[in-house]
Amino acid sequence: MPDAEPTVLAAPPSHAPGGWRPPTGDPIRLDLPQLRYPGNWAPRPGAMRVLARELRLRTRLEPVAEPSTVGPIEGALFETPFLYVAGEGALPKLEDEAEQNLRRFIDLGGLILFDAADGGADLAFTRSVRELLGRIMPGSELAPVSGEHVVYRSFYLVDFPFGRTQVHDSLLAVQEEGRLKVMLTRNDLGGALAETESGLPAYPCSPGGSDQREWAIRLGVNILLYATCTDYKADRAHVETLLRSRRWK
Amino acid sequence: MDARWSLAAGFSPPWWAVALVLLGAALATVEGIRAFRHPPLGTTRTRSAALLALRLLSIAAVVGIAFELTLRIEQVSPLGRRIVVLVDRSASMDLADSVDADATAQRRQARLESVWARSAPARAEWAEQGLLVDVRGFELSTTPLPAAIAETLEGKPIGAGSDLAAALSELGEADPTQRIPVVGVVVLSDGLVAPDRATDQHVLSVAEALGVPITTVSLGAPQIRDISVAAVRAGEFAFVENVTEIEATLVAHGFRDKTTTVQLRRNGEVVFERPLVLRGDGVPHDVRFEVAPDRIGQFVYEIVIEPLEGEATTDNNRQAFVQKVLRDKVRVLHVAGRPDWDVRALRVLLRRDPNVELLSYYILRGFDDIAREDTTAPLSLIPFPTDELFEEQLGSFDLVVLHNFDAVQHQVGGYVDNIAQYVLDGGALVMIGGDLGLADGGYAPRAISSILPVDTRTPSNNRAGPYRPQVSEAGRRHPITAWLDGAQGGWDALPELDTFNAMALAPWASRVGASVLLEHPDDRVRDGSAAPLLAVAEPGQGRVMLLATGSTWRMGFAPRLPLIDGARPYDLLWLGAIRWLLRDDSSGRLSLETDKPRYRVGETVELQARALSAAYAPEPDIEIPWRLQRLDDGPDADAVDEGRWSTDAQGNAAEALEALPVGAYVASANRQLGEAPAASVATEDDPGLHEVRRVFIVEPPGRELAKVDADPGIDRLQRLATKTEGAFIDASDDEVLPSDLPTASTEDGAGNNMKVEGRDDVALWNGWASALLLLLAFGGEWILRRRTGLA
Repeated sequence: MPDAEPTVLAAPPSHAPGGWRPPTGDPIRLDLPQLRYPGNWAPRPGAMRVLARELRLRTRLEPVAEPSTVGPIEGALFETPFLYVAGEGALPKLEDEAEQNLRRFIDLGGLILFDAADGGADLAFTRSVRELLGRIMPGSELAPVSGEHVVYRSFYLVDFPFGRTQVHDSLLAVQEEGRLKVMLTRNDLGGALAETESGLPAYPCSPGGSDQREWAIRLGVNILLYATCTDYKADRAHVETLLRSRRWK
Repeated sequence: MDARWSLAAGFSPPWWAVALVLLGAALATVEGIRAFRHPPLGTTRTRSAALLALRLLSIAAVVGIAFELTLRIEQVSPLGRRIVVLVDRSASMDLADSVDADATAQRRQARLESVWARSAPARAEWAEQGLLVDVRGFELSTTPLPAAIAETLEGKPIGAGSDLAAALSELGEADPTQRIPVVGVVVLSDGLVAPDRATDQHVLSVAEALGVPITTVSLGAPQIRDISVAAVRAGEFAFVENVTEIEATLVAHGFRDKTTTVQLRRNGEVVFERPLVLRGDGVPHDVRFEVAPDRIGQFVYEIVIEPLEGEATTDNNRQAFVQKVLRDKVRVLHVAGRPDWDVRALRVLLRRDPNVELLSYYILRGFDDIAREDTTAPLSLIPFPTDELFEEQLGSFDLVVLHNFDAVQHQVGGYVDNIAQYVLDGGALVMIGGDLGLADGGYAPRAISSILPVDTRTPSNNRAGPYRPQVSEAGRRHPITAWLDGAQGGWDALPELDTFNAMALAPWASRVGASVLLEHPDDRVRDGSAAPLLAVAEPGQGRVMLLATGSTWRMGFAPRLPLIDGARPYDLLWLGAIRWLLRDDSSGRLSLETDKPRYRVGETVELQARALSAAYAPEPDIEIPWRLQRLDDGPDADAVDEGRWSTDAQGNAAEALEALPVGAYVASANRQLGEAPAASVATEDDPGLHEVRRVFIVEPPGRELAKVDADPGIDRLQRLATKTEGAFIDASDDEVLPSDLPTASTEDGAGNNMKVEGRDDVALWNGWASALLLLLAFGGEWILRRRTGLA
């Protein structure tokens, strides 16, 4: 079993029936697209590439090696129900069509992850995200995500929204219809992920250094596991009860 | 014979004319009397009297002519008097009871015959008194007894109930064929004629309204040995996996401190059994069973008491009822080999439905991931409980979804036999393709591959690339995809899919009733037909859907996603699939229904069957063997009735079952889906044979033997006699019917109840005599008035 004592398989499982062979077809790869917009849309270049790599190494997800970028009025926006939006300073006002597209993206079930590259030093990005959401999701509110939320245990057990910084102690999110539709990380998650061309961390994490970076990566993994599995890990809390309450044939 | 005189009016003028005539007559009479009492001077008393007489005569003549009076002379004689004897013919009369615990039990029917025989002298006396005796048997209806039976009252009482109120009501209704009045009633019964207080009151009311004395003969005795199921309380509906209570009240007499066993049976099989120590005589024992039904359907439950030696009857030791079990929550097991957007979409859909109880297991990391694991990292992962899911508890799920799941890699390969058997036993399975599950040959073993609609014996790698599926001919009618036929533009308006596992239709497809609903637009299999994308099958009792793509999530997430009837195409596809898989739609390939779940004895049971093709079109000329068995007799018992249908053009077949005795029944029918297997490859469990069953009960119209203790009946008969001023006779005390039976008076002041032997009508208003009388009266008065100087 995958979570038991690990056994590295170099050959087909001994219990495999005749005819079994490892799959060789096209793997189903997940993209982690980042939104392009007029302005500083990529304050932390390569952050999603690193996250994709870490997901591949740590989980069974198969992200693409090079996550794409997408404009808000492009049809490709709907190729993936996940969108990463990074920024430093205020987000520019988007065209009406762009904002309508983002609204539709969310209404159809997509998840948008906003990442404030200022790491808490400047509230402009956060403020502009609120304004944007006020236009595309009137009546909805960005509110702190409880420490008990499943996003903190969707893969790793994480108890803080680590990023490049540790200024803010909570993620903000719009939570409706039982899911997180929009998330905002204010501690510069991308900053913790980004690497230089030589593969070294591009920005120091403060105050925790490399340990903090590791926790930020874990948070990123959790967010993507949440994006693909939603509240699966919240199910598990009830499993024993469900199993015990059943009467079998 | 006597003569009876009366006046009859042949004409009834309008009221004002009547008033006018009467007023005129009154005035004339008053004037005449006044003139007689105060005659004018010179008028003798004799002349005054003559004038008055003539006046009165003329008034009578006018009235007679105005109302066309007729003198009626009838020759009459007395009608006679009738006693109605009501004899209880219900099944409770066949019970044996006794005066005390030491006495030998005697059947109530025997007591009836004995008291009737001993009362022969009294009955002879009634005849001498001119009483005509009309003997009738009553149960749920009343029928006259033949003369030979009426003499002895012999017979076996088997009536399903005893409706004394109806029998007495009939006597109070006017019967044009019977003119002899009823002057008294004799009721011979054990008195168990009212199951509740309301009916008891009704009997007394009807008896009082009859207006004649009712003499009652009690045929029951205080001591009886019997246990009965007096009442059962259970809901008409229950929900799967939800505890429902079934309560029964048992009443025992004469078995204090004895032990018996009470069973709850379902469709003839014992579900629960417990011992019961019986308490005092007539003390109700409440028994409660808690049942959590494990599957939907219609079931016959029965409370059964193990008989004890010496019971008066064992017919009341059981009571059956029908309960329909509905689905409360659908239990779905969703296992995914890897999280991705398709897994997410299906999970969101299932979680959104409050009627779905979802248990999910997603493989979040592989063995190579484990190898690279940082062992210090706290993980929220848990072991994948393969044994528990696929061995112990598989049968508890309504639907199992294997979503791009590579079973072999996660040690589920050894459980595919279980999964196959789960389907054959009635489970529902969905297999969704992708880059893992169908791509490694893990579903090649015969047990699992033989129930799938496509051939999984060869691995099928995932192929990425956009395409728009085509709806097949079968897909246009199938509940899962029929909506696509109605959608404007078909799939052209829907998003493209982008993954595909190319597989051929299984060689045994027809045997499992397989049908391809969606096809790849370009891929062809070996025989040149389009490669299946979505295929369904019905192996054994279950249903399977195989979707050779992991990209249907795109049908719910696209920039210009059309809504069809307000719903996303993704939702329509999957909700339709789940409904079909769980048989929530009523149109299975073979359905068998009765027009109702409970019947009274004597009613016709209508069995109706319907056959549909794999494309859900009515299927004519399908041979459907059917049989009817009693549930109690077990599954291997001989059939009560059986036959073979051939469906008509609408795919329908029906049978009317008459005269079924009381009991619980199961009707079953089967059909072969597709071709029958060749003998060389036939297996014991033919996945192509599809059987359906329907249970129902035939029950008596009332609960005649639910309560058999005679004490309430004795009390009731005493009250009935007292209320109506009749006599009460206790047959168990060897009493006999009285010679001087209490009866009602036959004649009233109006002389009713006389028989008219002849009639003569004399018309007083027409003919020359009445005209002459009128002339003489008016003319005579006028002449006499002139003579006396008054005119």
